[in-house]
Amino acid sequence: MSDTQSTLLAPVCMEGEILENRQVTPVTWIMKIHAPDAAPRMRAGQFVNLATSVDIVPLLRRPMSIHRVVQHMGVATGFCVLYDVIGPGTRNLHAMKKGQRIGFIGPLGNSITVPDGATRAVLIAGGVGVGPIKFVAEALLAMGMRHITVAYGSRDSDHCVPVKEVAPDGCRVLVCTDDGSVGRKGFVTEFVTDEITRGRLTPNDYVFTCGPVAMFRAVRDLLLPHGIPAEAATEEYMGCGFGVCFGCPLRQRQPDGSVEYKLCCVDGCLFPLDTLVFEGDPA
Amino acid sequence: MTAGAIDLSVQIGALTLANPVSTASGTYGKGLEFQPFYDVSRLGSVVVKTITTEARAGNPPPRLAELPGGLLNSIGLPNPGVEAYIETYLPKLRSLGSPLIINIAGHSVDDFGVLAARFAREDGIAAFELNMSCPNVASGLDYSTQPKVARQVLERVRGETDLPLIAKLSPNVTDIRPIGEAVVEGGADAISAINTLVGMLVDWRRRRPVLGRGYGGVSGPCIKPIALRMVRLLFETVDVPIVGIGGIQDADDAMDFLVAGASVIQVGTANYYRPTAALDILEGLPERIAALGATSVREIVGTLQMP
Repeated sequence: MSDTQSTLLAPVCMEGEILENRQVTPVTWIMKIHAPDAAPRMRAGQFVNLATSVDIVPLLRRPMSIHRVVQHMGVATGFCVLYDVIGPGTRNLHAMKKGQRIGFIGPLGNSITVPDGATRAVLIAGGVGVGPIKFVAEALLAMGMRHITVAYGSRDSDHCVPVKEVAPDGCRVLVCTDDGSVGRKGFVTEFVTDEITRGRLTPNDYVFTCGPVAMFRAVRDLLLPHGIPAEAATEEYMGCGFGVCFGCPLRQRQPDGSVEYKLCCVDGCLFPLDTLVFEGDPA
Repeated sequence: MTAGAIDLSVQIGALTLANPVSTASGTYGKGLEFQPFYDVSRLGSVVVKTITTEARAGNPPPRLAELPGGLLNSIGLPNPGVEAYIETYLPKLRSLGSPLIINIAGHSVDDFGVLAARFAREDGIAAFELNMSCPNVASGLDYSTQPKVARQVLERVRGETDLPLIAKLSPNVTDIRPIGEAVVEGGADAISAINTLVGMLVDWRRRRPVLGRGYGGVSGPCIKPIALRMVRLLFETVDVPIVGIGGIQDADDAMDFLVAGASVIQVGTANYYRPTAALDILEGLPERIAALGATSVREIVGTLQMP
């Protein structure tokens, strides 16, 4: 990458105006932020670190996947984040109103790497891991990919994000909930099994996944015997988001078999799924 | 006096710094990470993350936990070790354009000397800061809780280099003053105060500490009053410059420390949530110094009037 390119892609630390902060499920919100200086730098799979307070509680910013980049007349002018209201940070976020300004650092982390020749993609999301899916799907469509399947699972109807917020038009979206209140009853991994069984998911396809560790583990165990690689968007508690606090390590298997700590924020947050070593995995 | 004409330069031993704003070790990575946000060369100095003789992977996660106005951490000094550091990072650090203060931590008194000797052979280093509160030390001693050991560390390093030495002290002591006196006797040109306060957060439902390693160090705005008091105590006790650290996130915080007795201030945890904090502080100092009727930062250092 040239110096000019890397400068154009470097993160910025600034404020943007909130254009919209709307509720899409009883617990899920989407915030749209005007950020014409930052948006053109954003690539699918990256994240931003949002200041949820101008005060010192909560002290730290909150890392959020970029849900989509807002385009105006073909120019990227802003971005959206999708979040569940869970703790003090996201409670502050959902109380913010249109017209308020919000601080952010971004874009941060790496972006998707689609293998040459891949013509199909399966995007697997669990819970609020649905956050980055729309941006990834839009990027794949823009690359000319025509067969994109999104497999999305959530707890129940209170947590299930409407399909139009999950993926752009032109994608096939499969929805399930744990209790069957929306879509199929069961886990998202059952869709993955179906796709493999029907020959619609092979090692030549691109797989992206974001969700809880239990889902990562299940998806990995399904894909591994078939030699299907996947990119996992990980999440860890972060202090800074740009590689200085060393507070967000996760364990990754190296080519020589050893296991090393990598930083979620700057070494990821996307990692090859089969290299991640989760709590409870054999060392 | 206009804010533009304020002299911000400060002195640590033979080293003159263009301004008193610096960064706290462990919160500034390699400095390079801040280049997208501002011109790092504007800072008076930069203190890099602690370097040890051997590579360290760091502690098991979770390494961080938030608390009201603060942060608890147990990062564990991850670093590639001195040789890899010199080969890989030092050339890039020299390009930062700000005086570079190398922070070292030994596993023994001798280790501090070995590290200083190795770095002393390299160009582009302005000073050393000695991380004397590393919890992983031979014989279980913390180098800045016992005056005799603290003095030995300084004497050992002093024997290896003529560069300015800054002893970074732990606040986890009954009285910081005898430690301060000991490091000055050992050859310290300045004292950094304070490192983090040891602490713990508990998840009672799981009956587990929140951090992977159990205990950690508390930093952030919530420790500022403790840091200010210790800076004042040291200012009244020793005759070397004090580097004030602890919860500094804006220019008013920095002024509090300067008036209390610090000649240099380091921005730590604020670098995480306000990446431009150090620069914002630098830009906010002249008008505040002028508001006190002073023309230089040196005129206001330690001018606190205690009751």
